[in-house]
Amino acid sequence: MRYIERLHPVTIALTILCAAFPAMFCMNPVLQIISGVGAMLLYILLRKKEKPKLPLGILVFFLLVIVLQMLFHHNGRTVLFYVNQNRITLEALIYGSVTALMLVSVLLWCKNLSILMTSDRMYCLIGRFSQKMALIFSMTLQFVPRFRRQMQKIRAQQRLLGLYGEKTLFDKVRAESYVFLATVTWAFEHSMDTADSMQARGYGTGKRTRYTDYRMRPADWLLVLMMVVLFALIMLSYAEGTMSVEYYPDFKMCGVGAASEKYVLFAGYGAYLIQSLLLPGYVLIKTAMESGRRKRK
Amino acid sequence: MRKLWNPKEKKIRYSVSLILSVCMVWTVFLFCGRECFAAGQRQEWEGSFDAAWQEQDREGILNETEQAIKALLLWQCEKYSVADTRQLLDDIYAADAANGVTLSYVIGICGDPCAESPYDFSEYRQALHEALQDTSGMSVATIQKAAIVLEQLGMSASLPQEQMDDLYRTIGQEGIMTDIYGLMLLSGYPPTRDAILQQAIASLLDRQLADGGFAVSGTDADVDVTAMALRALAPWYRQTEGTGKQGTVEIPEEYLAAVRKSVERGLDFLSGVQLEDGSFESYGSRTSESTSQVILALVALGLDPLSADDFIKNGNSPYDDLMHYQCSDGGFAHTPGAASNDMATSQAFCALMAIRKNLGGANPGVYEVSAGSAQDTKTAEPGGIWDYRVILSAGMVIAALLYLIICIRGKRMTKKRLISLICILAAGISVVWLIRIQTREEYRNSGISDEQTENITVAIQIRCDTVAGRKAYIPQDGVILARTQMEVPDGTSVFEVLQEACRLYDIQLEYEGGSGYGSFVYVEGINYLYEYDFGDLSGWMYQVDGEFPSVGSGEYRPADQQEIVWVYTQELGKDVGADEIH
Repeated sequence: MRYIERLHPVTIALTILCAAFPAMFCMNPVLQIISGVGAMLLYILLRKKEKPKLPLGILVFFLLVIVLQMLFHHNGRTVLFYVNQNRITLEALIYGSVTALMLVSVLLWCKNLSILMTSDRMYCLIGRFSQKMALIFSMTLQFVPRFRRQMQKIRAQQRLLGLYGEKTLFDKVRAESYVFLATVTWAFEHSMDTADSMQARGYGTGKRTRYTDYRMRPADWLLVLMMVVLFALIMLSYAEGTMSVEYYPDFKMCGVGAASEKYVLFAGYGAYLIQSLLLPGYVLIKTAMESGRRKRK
Repeated sequence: MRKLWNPKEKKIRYSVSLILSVCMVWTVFLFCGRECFAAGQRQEWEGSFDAAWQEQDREGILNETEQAIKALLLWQCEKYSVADTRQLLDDIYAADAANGVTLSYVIGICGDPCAESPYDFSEYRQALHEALQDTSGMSVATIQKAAIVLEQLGMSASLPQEQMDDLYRTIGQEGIMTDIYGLMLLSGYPPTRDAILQQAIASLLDRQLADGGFAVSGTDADVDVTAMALRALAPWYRQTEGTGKQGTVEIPEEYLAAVRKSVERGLDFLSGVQLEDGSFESYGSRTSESTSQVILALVALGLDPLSADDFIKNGNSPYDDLMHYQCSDGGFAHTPGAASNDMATSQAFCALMAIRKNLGGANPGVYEVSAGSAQDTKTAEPGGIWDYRVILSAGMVIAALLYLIICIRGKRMTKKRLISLICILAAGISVVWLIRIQTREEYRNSGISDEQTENITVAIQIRCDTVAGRKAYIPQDGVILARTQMEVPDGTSVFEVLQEACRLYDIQLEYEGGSGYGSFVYVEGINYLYEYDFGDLSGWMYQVDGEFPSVGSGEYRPADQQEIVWVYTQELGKDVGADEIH
């Protein structure tokens, strides 16, 4: 985490987007597995200091996607069993797992991005183009957690005052609707206050300096350069069709069959492997180096 | 007093959930186990040959052989997409009666010892007889082979005398095969042609090579030819052993001695070239045909291919080897690991039939195979008392009762709880009974079982000529299901006929909507070929007697003797002859 914080926001954003982008549209199982592993690793590294929590929601979502895919797609040659005279096939299972993996890995990449992109960094990224936009961004991003917190506060207060009964469903709905109304009113007022106070301080009138000084260090340049080269390699491999996969009626990695293009294929897979493991790998290596230095001392 | 049944107490809650989960797991296991049993039957008899051999379990081997024969015939039926072997014989074989492969199959079928074989060969016999009227373009060996089949079918007398004379004259004229088949032909005829017979035997014996083998040409003996030659000589070899058949033509003593010596040399040769795993090589590669022919020769010579000492290498008999060639689809491959092959399968069929005969199997049901009713699977009756749905429902009811008892004992029963419990129970049970899980075999065995109404006969075919062969899984000739007659209850919709056909012939089908009569249903894909696969206007349409009806396939009832055709269109029907867009 420490080492990632030292990186320039541009590097972080580029690294994560470049890793997430191929995973968004390429249905290759190998690529998806790599993507999932990379995203998970980074997520664990970022969340290391917090309480370790099983991503149960993600697991349930993963299984749900697979089951739905199997129940509603009956294409495929390998029949596992029949449900209401419809075949449930192995191919649908494979296709469903890859789809689920794709959704989960992209979800995790986005989570990682939102953890790393603090409002400060967001401002650094967008502020140079439009200060207004940066303000809107940072306000929107903090809106949801703040809204939830405020809602809890109001609810606790109302309950303390004993204003609404909570015995029947109707009572509950009425109580919640009042709480919601109060929170929305507060949110409007609050954002207006923020905008007013920012204006009063002269926001947007001239060039702004930042609290944190972000500078492109050699490590940043190196990462950005690697990212661009690797991304080009992946795209080339994708365009050559070496990553294409057929799911129905037989599961077939047809890209592998194109033997003449094998080097492109492996270049693509390899590039993606390096790319998605770049950030977590960077953190791990840096940590290892640090601990080694400490030992030597 | 301490409450004994407080459901809020942790122990109680845990034990209830434990019981529930055990019930669930048990049910799941039961279901899976049953499925594995059905799916594993095939592997069972494929994999356990060695063990069975060790035990000399002849009963078991007979059973396995019969299973293999059934699987093989099923493969044939599926290959030509016909319903059963009877249809195979009448429609497919009769159409190409004098083909070498077809003849092998028929020899296999009619070479059965039990007289009451369920087939009526008359149609095929007639077709073969007609084919023999004009023999131009047929090789002499094929004509001879066809004549042997005719003879076995009991129709030799109907061939004109001069044609038979011609056949005898050609013995040995065109290579060794004509010798072999000629000899086989002669062995079954009344003893009026001693001279020809003696000449034929002498001619064949002359062709034996120095190492005891026979060859089509050259001096490198071939296993297949050697085995066939031994088979041709077998009747007289058995005569020298005193086990000859009644009615075998008598030949002079010196000939008998020569035959005996020749056969012994041939057997030595075959035994010598057999490989460690029981297989034989022909032209440099191991083939199933060689093994099949050796088995046929051994059986003809009165030896047992399962226990003849000279032909068991490393504990592997030719029979063990032959079984390795059977593919998962039931057919036999030419070489190990290859796909099923018609020629190889036909010869393996004869070999298996011979082994079955040798083992004393006389069950006429062995070729009562039909693609519709796979009778070789003995899965548990669905819907019986041990149906998984009954168990699941019972489990849920028991769990609900337990919960009820706990609540009542703990005096925690409220109206709300009771209502929600009943609702959950009802929902759970209805879900279990609405979702019907079947294994592949169960699905294929389940049919429209409405026997009260009158049945009608309709013909159905599924074609995709517009896109034939465009992808690997689309048939080259565009025929997914050739014209097939089906008997269905009166009032069945076109869609239900399609569903039934797809069930019988194991064709993939995906549709949207309900499957009962009168419901809206839309066919999305048949045999992995889906709508939109070839452009935005592509999809499946159906026609009845050449017309494209303007109602959904779930609402159209075909009448008796109507022709249903499902066609794949690329242009909303314009390319398949529909004049209107519906």
